[in-house]
Amino acid sequence: MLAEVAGEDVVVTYQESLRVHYWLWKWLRKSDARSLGDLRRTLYKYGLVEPSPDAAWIVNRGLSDYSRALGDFTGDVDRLVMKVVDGSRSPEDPISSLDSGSGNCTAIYEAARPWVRYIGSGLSLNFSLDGTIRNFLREELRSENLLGYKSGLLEMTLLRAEIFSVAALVVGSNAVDKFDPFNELVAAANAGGGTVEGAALKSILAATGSAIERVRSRIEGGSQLVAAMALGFLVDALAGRVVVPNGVQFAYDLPSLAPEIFGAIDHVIEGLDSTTKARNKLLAAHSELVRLSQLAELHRTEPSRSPESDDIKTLLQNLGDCIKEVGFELRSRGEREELTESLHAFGNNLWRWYFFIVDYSHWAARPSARRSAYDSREVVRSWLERPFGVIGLEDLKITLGCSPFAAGLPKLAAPIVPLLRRGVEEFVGQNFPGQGDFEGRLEEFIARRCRLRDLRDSITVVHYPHDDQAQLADLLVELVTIWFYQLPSGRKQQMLSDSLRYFERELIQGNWLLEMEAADGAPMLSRRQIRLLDRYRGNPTQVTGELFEFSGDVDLPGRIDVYPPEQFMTLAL
Amino acid sequence: MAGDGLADGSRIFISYSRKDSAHAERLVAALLLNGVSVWYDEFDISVGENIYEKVEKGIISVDFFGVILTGNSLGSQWVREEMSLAKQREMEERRIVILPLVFEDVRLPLHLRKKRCADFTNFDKGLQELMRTFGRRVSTTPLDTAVRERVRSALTAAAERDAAGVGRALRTQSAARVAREFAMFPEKADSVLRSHPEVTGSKRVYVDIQSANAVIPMAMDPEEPSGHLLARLLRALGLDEVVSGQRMAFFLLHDDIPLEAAETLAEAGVAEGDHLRLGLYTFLIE
Repeated sequence: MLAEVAGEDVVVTYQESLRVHYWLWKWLRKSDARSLGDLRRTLYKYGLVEPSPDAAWIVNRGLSDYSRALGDFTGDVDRLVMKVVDGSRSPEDPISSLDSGSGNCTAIYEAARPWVRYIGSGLSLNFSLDGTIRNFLREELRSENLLGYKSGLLEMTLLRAEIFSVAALVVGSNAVDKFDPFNELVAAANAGGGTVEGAALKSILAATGSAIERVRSRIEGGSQLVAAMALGFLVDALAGRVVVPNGVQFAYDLPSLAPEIFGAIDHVIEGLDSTTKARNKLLAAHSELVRLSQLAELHRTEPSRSPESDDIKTLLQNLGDCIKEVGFELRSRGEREELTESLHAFGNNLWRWYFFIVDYSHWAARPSARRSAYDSREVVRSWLERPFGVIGLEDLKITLGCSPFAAGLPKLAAPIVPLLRRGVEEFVGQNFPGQGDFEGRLEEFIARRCRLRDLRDSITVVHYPHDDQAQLADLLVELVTIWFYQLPSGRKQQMLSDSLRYFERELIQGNWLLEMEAADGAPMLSRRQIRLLDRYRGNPTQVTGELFEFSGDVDLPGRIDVYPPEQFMTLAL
Repeated sequence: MAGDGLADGSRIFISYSRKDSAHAERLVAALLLNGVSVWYDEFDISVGENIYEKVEKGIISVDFFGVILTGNSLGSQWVREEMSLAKQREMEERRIVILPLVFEDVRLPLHLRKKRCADFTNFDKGLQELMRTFGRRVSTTPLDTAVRERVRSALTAAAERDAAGVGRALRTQSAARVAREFAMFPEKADSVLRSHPEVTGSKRVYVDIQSANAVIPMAMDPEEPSGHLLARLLRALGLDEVVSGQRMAFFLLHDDIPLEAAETLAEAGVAEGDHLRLGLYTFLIE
């Protein structure tokens, strides 16, 4: 539908943002405001998202509302997930479920997770007006219990903790004082059972900033910092995978494990000079590869069989490296790119298979469980030796802040290329030479980044006091929404025609309230509500300034209250 | 305990020691709330009246004689004399008149030992037993049945109009969120009632229900949250039984302004003898 109204170029950009946004959400549980804003802006600009046509419609239905209405529908999904866990279903073919109907898709946004994609299918994609106006309130006034993923303060605090982890890796833990933002955040999250006080976050944010400031002068040169940053992003991608079953995304029917690949390898062998190392290696590996292929086929046809025992683990590691080495050798000799790519993909999949077998026993008993990244930090450490056995090229591009559709690797990948090719030792040798204690530092770094992943999951709510300001903000949002829906339809269209800026002007001027009262459209209010409203009535410009974040460059369509699902389809009737 | 059932208009005399006034007040309030008419000296003897004469007339006029049994009452000359009069009636009328209400674990006088007692050491249990004696189940209805029924039918019929003279249909989520500070669904009354102690005493406010042409007197405590008073009223009217699930929510108004559930009557400026009004919202959302 977007293609019809906006053209293919816009569709490509939209899909790019969608891919990045859902990658960050699905794996890291990070609701990235920028890509979400891009998505919202595009939908709004091309008229694909409209204000909820009727004030009575429930458009902001969260996952808990769905569960109350439909029961625990995720149970069915969990049963399907088992097929992904045991490798009998390809993770590249995600399970799609849940029709949102018309609305702002909050429920399917919240429910999206690895292996499970939710689809919105309805007459229209609507944004809720009150939710949109609420998005312009200062964060601490938006809700007494703000969902963690909607909190900019939490995001900023986690980002600063992330920066702290990089600084600590570069200078070494001995050089930083005892303050560790991760310990503070974990303690705060545990104390509140997932609810963290906004005031506590502000305090941790400030303390982390001071801690970073104290080590800043010890950082010599930027190259190690860049290397540590890139390494951190890579660890984040791995930590995002370690918390879910079959995080390496292995399946027995992956194309690169199909028998056809061996025909290609035979062809490679025939074409290689008999004296090359690559040819000899491939010849030596050939019979073992055939055996592995047969095993894969066996599992594909009999999914109930358990994964292989230890006897092929060594084989998978050796062959995985061997095939990749051949790929590098062929590339250095200028062989065809498709050929080397295929060999690399094959080698990576052998490692993927190996990691899958090693990790399978953990998930087999509890396929629907999640585990903490921190408790699995040793698994992450082992994956770091062969990251492409866990993630793909597209994952690497996104985690390094690049478009998944971009050609080649982003520049930020340069310091970690040695690691991608030959493991951590190579990376340390090139970026942190002569630092004997680096392994200890690296373990601490991984532990912190795993904590970071866990914190995004475990901090579900940021709590703010529901003081007079917050109550007045609540009341104004509700009243201005009531006023809007009482307007004649032409006026409503006019209100929305200028990127919602009318709302800003109306709130600042306060005429809407007089208009609503004159038309006898105001609801009954209690004494407290009247008293609160009198504050606004006395000086609407000042109170609006105190409560809302309207400013000249504020991106209004980027804040509309709609969460595009990973796949959205409207039925134009 | 056994009895022939308490006909409408029957009364029970409450005999107690002054030292047990708290027990007596609690019991009287619960009985009134359950529609049982009570002879209680605090209500029935005015200043200057002859106490002996009034008490004697009281015991003769009621249908039952409930005696609060505690260490204090068993040692009280007053209670002994009242019990003696009641015993005489029991012998003359050859039916059960005396209802022993045990509030403390005490050794009972010989003539009461053969009677089944209501065990008020657990108040709720004792009340259930006493009400069973009257052939009634415990409810919290303090109202005259006719008034109650009139109010119930008037409010029930008011699905889309302003039944109480105040209120309107709620048609938007935002309007409902503004109203949630003061409006209450009747089925919520039970949980609200658990959050605050029972209100007794002689102070009264009056709730006007215009559409039913009714005025309901309610015991009041200035420190009571207004939501609690509303919950008591909704239970008393039995509205949880008739409008539950019909998406009708009620609120109290004082000087035409809704009272928030959390604000106390004192904070809302409600004083003894004031008249409140009952408002009604009908939810027409979804």
